[in-house]
Amino acid sequence: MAKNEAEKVGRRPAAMGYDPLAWIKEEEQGVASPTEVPVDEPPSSLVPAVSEAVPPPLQIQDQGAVAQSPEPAKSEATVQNEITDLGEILGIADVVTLKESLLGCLEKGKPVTLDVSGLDSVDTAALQLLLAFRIEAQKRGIDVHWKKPSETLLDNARIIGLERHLGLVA
Amino acid sequence: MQSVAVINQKGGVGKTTTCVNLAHAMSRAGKRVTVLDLDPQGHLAASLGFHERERAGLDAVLLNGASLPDVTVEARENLNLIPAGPRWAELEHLNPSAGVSRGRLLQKTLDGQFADCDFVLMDCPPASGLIVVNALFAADEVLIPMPGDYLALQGLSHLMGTIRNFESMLGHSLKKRIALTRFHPRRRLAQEVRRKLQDYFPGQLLPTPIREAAALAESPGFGKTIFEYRPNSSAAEDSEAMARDYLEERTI
Repeated sequence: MAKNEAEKVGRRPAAMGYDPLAWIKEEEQGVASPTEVPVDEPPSSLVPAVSEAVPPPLQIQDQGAVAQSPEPAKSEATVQNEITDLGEILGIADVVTLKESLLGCLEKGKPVTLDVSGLDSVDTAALQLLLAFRIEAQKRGIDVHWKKPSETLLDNARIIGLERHLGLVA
Repeated sequence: MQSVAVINQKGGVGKTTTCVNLAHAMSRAGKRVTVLDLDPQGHLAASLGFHERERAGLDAVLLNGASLPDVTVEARENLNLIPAGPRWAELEHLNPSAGVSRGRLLQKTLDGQFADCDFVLMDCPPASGLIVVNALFAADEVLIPMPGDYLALQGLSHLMGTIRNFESMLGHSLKKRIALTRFHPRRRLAQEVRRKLQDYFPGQLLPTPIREAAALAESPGFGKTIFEYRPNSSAAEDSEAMARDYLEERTI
């Protein structure tokens, strides 16, 4: 599907433009290969996908104080920052690992820049973690900066009313 | 005994890493496992800490008539290793006049030899030549390690075509399982590759992916499996979970 078509129906564009496995379905749907052989049917009672670990609830404190004093991100060029790339997808399955990584950043005591330029999908659990992280950083007097927030992050934060709390807008 | 060929003609997909850690996880779970290093590079043996390139192995059995017990090494508790040996690559260049029988040499050699073993894992070279054909003839099933990227998916497409051709020659289909390796869960492409694998190969994908981790790349350098090198790492956790999936026949 072309990028603009995907956007029209509210879906993200595909991460690949060509399906190298398409021949398998084409073969199954009609044109039998001369070398086709019987293939075992998959077992009827397939075990469901690996269960996603639900992370422990994060302690978000003093949220009101943040809301009253949102801070715009400072220019990263002015400080020696700890830069963390948050990747392309952030969801509930990632928050436990990410929490460890973010806490590790805080332990260093340096300003932290979160590279969110490639973030393509972010759910509310991840936004909750980012908020908790920002609040914890404020408590410790550590600056947190955003590097090129993606449209997805800005949109999702705005939809649930967290963009100011997260410091994504002034 | 269940014999498993760990194959993918593409290099760097995690065949040896998967083979070593899956075998060790199975042996730690009480299964009796033998691993066969079918790669002339000998990386499986090296990953288990056996670096002597001149150590005789399968080459001596197939080319010189040595016996399997002579070349079997006790690598870990419940885990035996049969190295490739320095002349193993010669198998690829056997006289073509030997015909189809060239492809069944390994099968004949291994036949009835591992009655006391639960699993025989064969780590294949990144190729689709005679060594791999030998592995396929000797195998009850195939395990395909597969990273979550586009070129690996394209390679898999080619491999599945090759396996189908082989199956038509064999006269029956091989059981196939796919292991996602070097996985980046927060990468969109990786998630899309995973969805495609579930879509095209239902019931053949092992549910636990092995996430990309530096420790997996480092551990062979110390001749250790991930359970010895970083027992508390996410990679050890993933490898153990994948072995459980395998033993309990869990797929998605």
